[in-house]
Amino acid sequence: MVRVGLPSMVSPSLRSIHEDSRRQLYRESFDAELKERVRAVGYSMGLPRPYVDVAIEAHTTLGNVLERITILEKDESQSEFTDEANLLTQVYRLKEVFCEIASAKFSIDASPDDDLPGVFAKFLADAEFANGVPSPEKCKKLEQIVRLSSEFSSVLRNPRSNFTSFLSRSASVVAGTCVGIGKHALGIVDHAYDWVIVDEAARASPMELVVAMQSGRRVLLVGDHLQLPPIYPIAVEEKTSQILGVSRSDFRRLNNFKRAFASEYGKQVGRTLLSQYRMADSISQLVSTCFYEGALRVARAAPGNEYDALPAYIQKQVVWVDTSDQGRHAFHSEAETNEGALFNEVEANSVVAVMRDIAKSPEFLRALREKLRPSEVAIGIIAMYASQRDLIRKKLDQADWASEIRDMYTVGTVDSYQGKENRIIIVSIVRNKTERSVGFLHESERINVGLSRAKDRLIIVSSTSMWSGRTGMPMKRVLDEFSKMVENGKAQVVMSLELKGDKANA
Amino acid sequence: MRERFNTVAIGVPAQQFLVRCHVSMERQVPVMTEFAVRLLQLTNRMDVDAFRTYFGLRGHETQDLLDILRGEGLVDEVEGTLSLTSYAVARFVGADDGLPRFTKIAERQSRPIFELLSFSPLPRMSSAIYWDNTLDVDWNASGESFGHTIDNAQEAFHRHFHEIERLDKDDEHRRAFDVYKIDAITAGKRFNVPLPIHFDVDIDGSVEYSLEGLESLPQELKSVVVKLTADRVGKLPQLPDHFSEFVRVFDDELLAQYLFKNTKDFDVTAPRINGDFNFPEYVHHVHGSKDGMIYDAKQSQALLGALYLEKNQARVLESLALALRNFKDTATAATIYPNEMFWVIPDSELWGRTDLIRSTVEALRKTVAKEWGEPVDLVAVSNASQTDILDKLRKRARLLLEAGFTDVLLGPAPSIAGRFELLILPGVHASAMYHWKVPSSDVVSVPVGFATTQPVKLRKLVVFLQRMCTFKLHRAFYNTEESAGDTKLRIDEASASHFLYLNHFLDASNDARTESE
Repeated sequence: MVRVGLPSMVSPSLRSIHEDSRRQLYRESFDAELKERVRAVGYSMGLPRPYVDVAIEAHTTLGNVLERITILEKDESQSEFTDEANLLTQVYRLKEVFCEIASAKFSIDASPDDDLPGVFAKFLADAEFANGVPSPEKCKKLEQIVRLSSEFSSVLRNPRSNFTSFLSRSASVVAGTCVGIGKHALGIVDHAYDWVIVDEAARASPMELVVAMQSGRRVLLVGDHLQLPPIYPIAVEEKTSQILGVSRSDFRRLNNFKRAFASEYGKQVGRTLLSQYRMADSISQLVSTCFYEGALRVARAAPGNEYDALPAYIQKQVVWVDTSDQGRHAFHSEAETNEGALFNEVEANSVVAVMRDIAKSPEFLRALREKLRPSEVAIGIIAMYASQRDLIRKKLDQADWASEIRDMYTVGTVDSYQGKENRIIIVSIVRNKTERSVGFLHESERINVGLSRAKDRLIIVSSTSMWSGRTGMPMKRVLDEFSKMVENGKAQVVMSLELKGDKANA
Repeated sequence: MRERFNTVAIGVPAQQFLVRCHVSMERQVPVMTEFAVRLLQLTNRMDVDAFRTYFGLRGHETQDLLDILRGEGLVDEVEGTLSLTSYAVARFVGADDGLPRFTKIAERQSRPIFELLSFSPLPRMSSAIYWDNTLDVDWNASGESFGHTIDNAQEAFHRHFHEIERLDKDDEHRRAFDVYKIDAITAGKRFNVPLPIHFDVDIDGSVEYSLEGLESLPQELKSVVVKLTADRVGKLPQLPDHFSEFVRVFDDELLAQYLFKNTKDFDVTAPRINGDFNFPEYVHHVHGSKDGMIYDAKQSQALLGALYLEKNQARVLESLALALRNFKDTATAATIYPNEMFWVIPDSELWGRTDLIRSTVEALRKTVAKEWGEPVDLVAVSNASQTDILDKLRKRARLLLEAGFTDVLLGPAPSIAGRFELLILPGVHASAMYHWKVPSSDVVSVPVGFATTQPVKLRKLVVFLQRMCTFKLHRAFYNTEESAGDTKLRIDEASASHFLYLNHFLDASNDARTESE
């Protein structure tokens, strides 16, 4: 199996099968067996076996040392980094190494002051003579093959040597993103695979899907059309919606996966999976009721008792940090970066205050760390807007109390979060003003993704007064269901100023 | 509203490497394809078994590789024997190293400088030598492996080759298509690239860091630098709060307005506004609208932030120059001129971590020389534990002496004084600061205080100075008389008697300004 793509984009559990790891493994194996491999070629060329054995041994040992000596002697630029005396010492030391190997392995008596290339040439000539004087041309070729093999190893160190194009043809399973596998140099799209399985297919644009689907004899699309749809560049969105005669907003809602799933063929071959293994009971109830008509079933155990050590206000599985107590101060602001970019300082401070409370719960952190899988990130902070993500990230980067939990959290936008999950999710909704428009927060799929990433704890940071009067909006549905859960003791609301007070007194 | 209150330099470790490599001058074919055809070029013919053994392939992998080669029209197979097609043979290019080449390559030497955290290449200009007073940061905590610099540099050279080419070669026609292979890497000397980090505080007392320079560094590295700085700051000791004592002892009515409920008698038992220093109002009234309010009958001015920051440096120098002039103009034959200026340094590792401190010391000396005709000595009064080993004392002293101080007094300080800072020319001028801990952090402190020529305040500050000096155990200085001009750091015992002369400045009769008024 091989995972293609940028190393930084690959999850830690897949690093061992990443294309770079596979390349390094291949190179290491080649290096370890280099003599045997060259020997096989030498034998097949018809050279006498004893000669091949001794010549390869000599080229890979004495030949290599001589090459290093030549490089040092001719390379004047070394003097910038090493003084001349040091350089001479290095060269002399290498000559001593040559003599030691020559004596130990080949019974050659030589001293560092001798003409070592001459000594080496004589040894090879003697070996040829002793083995029936094989073709000098073939002997030369053997030496070249040893050098070629050494170069093969060097080139294999280069991540851009495109070893992947071989891997992608020979591996049983090739994994990558729709865009990543489309890189033509890899040759993946020129090959016909038995199966192509596309995960998060409802999120992929037709252009992305076609890249992957054309490479398969059979195709399996896995996705959830109640989560985020594909995102297109604005120019594509404008032009295509114009051609189709629909608004940009309606165009965004066109979902090919949904259409395929709802088609006659889709009904015949499609299956819906209703058991979910991620969200704890209360979180699942909120998500299932608000976005799946209550159809989801919980197929996981309850969260462990490590959460007992958290501050009292995070004891329930679902918590709402309500910023309505800060009135207009809690309104969002427009970022100067680009149109529609919003941030909310009060929400960001509330997120930081919650994080600080978690960071100052050593017993919880200790218990949690024992349960985390290697490289698992426990806490995810999801912002509905990129500017808010940047603001929260900056505040947490600069928090001098956060050193103990730096490896335990990640901050991202809702768009980057589909397909991910964390034990604790803090969602900053950001938008909060009296104006009627709620921007893209009217998209149910967006809110669904934001809330359904949580496994054990879901903390929503937003103003309840923003949503209480907005009938029909997904956040209003969430607030209504949340309020019922509070009444039933399954959720808790905490006012943001209470957190602020904690922060000031900490 | 944001106010800068400190600048701290972090030393980012960097190293230059000599990379001897080969670069490709055209698009490369995939490595397995290239070496398969080059091997066949050397052997002319080869049986499939030997081919499979050479590449270490399993059965289906061999067929996959041969399929690729056949698909490209490079290899023919006849009865289990492989050979190159005439098309493949025609594609070989000449080479002077005796090996058949399928791709045109050239030898190249490159001398990239990598910072050693994420191994990003740096422009040459960043490698200037720098006064090593940067804050030490635990770079190992960044997860980078310092023990494998050659391996990391090799990997980074591959990864950043195009960027390195851009930095090296202005003419894009001279740039290579890609790196082909690295033949050898030699490591050069390590050095630190200073990265200034500015500390700003907003009206709520929230602190924000911002990086200056090194725009070319990747965002990820900047984020690492900020996080490590925050972590380092988080490990600083938490000093006790004595703000009310500072305000009470030095009679500062302005700060008192924002700290005590009843400012008339500085009643420290009275409840404070909002339970703490009312920083938002203080900043708004004193520094926002008034830009450093002047009070005490124009004899004091409010200061916010480190004294060596440019904005404060300018204010302090301006009021010092005026005070020097007044002192000289009103001096009598009996007036004693101070010949030492003291800087009592707070117990903070974030103090004086940039070249700003050196420029301030130099400017202070020049200002005195200009007004009085000759400079005064500048003495740093610095905290050091009684148990500090000599090497630590020497390091501390050397940094301060290299910043321009004439002498450094080292030793313990009363616990109350950890957050106090004082720059004083006794009897003439003083700047007194309290390092107030902001509520959003456990340890970060913002200096708030005043510059003054007010005689009563000056006398109280001299008392404080005397007390601080008598606590000191060591006096460090460069002895220029020894070894024919070779400056050598000397650390002698400090003597309390040396500071008895400060008593003159407690005597109001020596206060030229008071007499003149």
